[in-house]
Amino acid sequence: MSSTDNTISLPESIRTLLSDRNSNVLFYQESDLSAEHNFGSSFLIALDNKILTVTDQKIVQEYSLDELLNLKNDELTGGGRITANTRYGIRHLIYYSNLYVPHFSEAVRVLSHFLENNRLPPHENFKTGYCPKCNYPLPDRESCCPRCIPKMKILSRILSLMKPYKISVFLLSLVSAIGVALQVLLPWFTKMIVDEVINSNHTDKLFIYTSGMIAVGTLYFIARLINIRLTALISARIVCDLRNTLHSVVQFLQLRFFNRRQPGEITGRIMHDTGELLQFLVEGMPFLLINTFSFVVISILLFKINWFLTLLVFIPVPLLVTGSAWFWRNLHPLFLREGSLIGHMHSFLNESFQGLRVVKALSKEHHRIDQFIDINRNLSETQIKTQTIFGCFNESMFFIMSCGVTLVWYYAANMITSISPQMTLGDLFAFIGYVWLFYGPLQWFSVILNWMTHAFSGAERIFEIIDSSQELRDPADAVELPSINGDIEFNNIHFSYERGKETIKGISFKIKAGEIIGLVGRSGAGKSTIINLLTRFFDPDSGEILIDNHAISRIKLMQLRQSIGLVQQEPFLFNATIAENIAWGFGDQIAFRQIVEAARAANAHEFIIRKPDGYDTLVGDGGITLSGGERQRIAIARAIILNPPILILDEATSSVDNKTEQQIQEAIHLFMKGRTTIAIAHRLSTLRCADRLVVIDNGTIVEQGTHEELISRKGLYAEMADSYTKANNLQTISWN
Amino acid sequence: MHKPVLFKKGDQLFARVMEDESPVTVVLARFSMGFRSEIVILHQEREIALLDGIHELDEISQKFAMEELRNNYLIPRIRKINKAEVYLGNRYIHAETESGKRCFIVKNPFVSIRHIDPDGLLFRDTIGNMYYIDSMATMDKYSRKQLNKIQ
Repeated sequence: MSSTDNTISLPESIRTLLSDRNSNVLFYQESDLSAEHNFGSSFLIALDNKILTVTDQKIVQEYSLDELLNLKNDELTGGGRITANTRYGIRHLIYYSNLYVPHFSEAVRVLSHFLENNRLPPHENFKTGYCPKCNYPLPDRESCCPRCIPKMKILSRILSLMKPYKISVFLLSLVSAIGVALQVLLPWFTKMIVDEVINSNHTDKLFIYTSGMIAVGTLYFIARLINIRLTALISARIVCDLRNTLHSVVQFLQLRFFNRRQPGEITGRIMHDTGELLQFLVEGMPFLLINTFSFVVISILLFKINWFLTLLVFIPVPLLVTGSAWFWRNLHPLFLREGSLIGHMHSFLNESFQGLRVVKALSKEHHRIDQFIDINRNLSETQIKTQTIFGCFNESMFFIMSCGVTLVWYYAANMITSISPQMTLGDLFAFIGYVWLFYGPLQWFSVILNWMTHAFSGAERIFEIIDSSQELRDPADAVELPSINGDIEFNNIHFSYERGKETIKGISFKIKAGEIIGLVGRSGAGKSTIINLLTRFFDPDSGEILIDNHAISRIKLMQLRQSIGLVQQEPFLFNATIAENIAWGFGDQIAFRQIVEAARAANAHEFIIRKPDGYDTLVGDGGITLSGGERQRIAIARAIILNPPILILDEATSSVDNKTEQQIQEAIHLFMKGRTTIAIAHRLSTLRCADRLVVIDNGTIVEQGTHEELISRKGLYAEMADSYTKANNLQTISWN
Repeated sequence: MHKPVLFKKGDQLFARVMEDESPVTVVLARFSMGFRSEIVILHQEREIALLDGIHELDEISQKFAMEELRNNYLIPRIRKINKAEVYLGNRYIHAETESGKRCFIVKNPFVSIRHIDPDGLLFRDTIGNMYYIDSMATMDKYSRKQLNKIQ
């Protein structure tokens, strides 16, 4: 909890502690760790003239504003702390767990501003990370609580997916109802045959009843076939729609969404979660519908035949329900473990095949085999347990049901053979038939309900993606510029991938159209983030980026991105031909001659035509059949095919050998003429043709100028150039 | 090699190597191996010394190094698991740690629960906090059973 309002939301004890100070609380932030790093709460509080920390209702540290020089966040393992540089040396003010990292990053920003300007800036309040309803932790700050997800809301949303198929759904319900009606008719024919044919010797009626039985059986069979067809149709179409929606939503998701998620997780949601939902819709939903309906109808029929026997039938019901729930409680962790183990085995196998060369090179095949045996044994042991418990479950349920049926036989036989029979033998046969129809689904209700929970969790994960923030494609006032020259301006840009951890801290610089700029800095300095912002993969938290004096957020996204040719360090090629990869996404809009021209400009034409299939060569998954340099040149051809006025080279030549780099450089140099170019490279020699170098460190610009100017300034660039020269000399020595 | 001597000015740890004094921090080279493993003394993210363990330092430096490690690694030891439950694939662990009670969420046990030497477990929850059990053998039966439910 943080506040700038007053002391009202501070705990009473702390308000009392501060009451004699005659000073206003301007800001405070609560932490979840005490000064001794125990879980509890401590507070960082800013008064009019002081900053203090409170733990266990005691003021632990207290500094007047003029004693504090600056504040910073220290990133620790499992959390962080605020460290103050004071007139008396370094002081650690307050510790916090990872849960409070954004809160305290914001606190440092706010208090640093306070120290400098003696007034507080507007600030952001972050959520606590706990569910306000049940107080359990949330999987992440922005997600909803898995314990408190309203199931009915999800169910109604699943049902709303059926809207486009409402006629089919109506037909399905109708056919299901007819099926149940026909099903309950069958035991009635048994009763009639026993009572009116066998016991009364009216064999003339046998044909009528057996014909009736066959007719009902045939109708039931047809109803089931229609039911199966409609269920398959509706569920498969719904899941097909869902997968299409999910895939298209993912295409337009903000890249921020993928920051803390692995690609496999998203694929899992598209395939596994929709699959689980499909299974529930195909099997679970009809089961629930049909059996709930038949459960009611059969109960009425049972009571109608004999109310006393029906009460006996109900005796094992609590046992069936609780037994089934008990078994499921024990089975569930095993199913969970089995799922995790299968996932682990998939990852292991994947790694085994991808890392086969390394395993062979190290002669560690047997080590790898032993590791797999371990995982496999674990899985098989879990499966043995699961199957055993599942088998016991089935048999126990059958045993309980048989006890119920035996009770019915015992009392019914007495009733039939008594002096004044209360029921006929036919009634008994029909009754027993209905009892099995009654018990059968009962044991599965709890399993299906659990299954429903799984399907709901899958549905919830699917809806989480569907509801995620989409890229702001084009605001209403977005314009398409007649042409783009390539003037770029970054104006006081602030940006953070994770809230509270700023990556870009107020960057401003201009690039003239046609200028070649080199972005230089250590790894993690923020160079690639600048590119991500220019291409609008992310939008800045504050500040503005202008192209030709127009804010890029107001330029139509398609025009913006097609005006920027982007070549990345690891080029991604689709599993298609070379020509298709160069003109990827444009198909027939681009003539073959244009593809060849782009390939020539990228120094790729020569190697392409030397291949047996030329431009029709299939590149394989991710371009596996090509060398790194070949892939990179195809990526360059793809970047330049639309003749973009702005070119971005993000470590475009860092993963290729010197000769290939030279070929790529030649291609790039030809293409850079007259275009605004931003190049990022670790090899400083790559940037020798840049008009200006912009040196980035820790999210800010620390130096700008030509190579010579920066060397003479003896700052970070000079230091980096020195290390680069030494490393190059070392390389030369070692090769010599 | 000269062993660094550690001392403190305020909350800042310093190392003296021969005549040079510089502000430093102490980190574990392999933190999952615990405080008995190799330590690295860093000055502005650059290594001053890599030692086989704290024991290589003099007695007073050992005390400072230990204190620094405790400050830099906010990873409480779990004493008991009170309850483990699963909601929509999220494994909730209610634990009693040496720093107090805590409930945290682990998603994929094969990614988020790692075995540490010799028979311990290291948990990384969904927001990046960490907790550890130093020995499963000494853990009570009920806690082991609870953990077994979610692994």
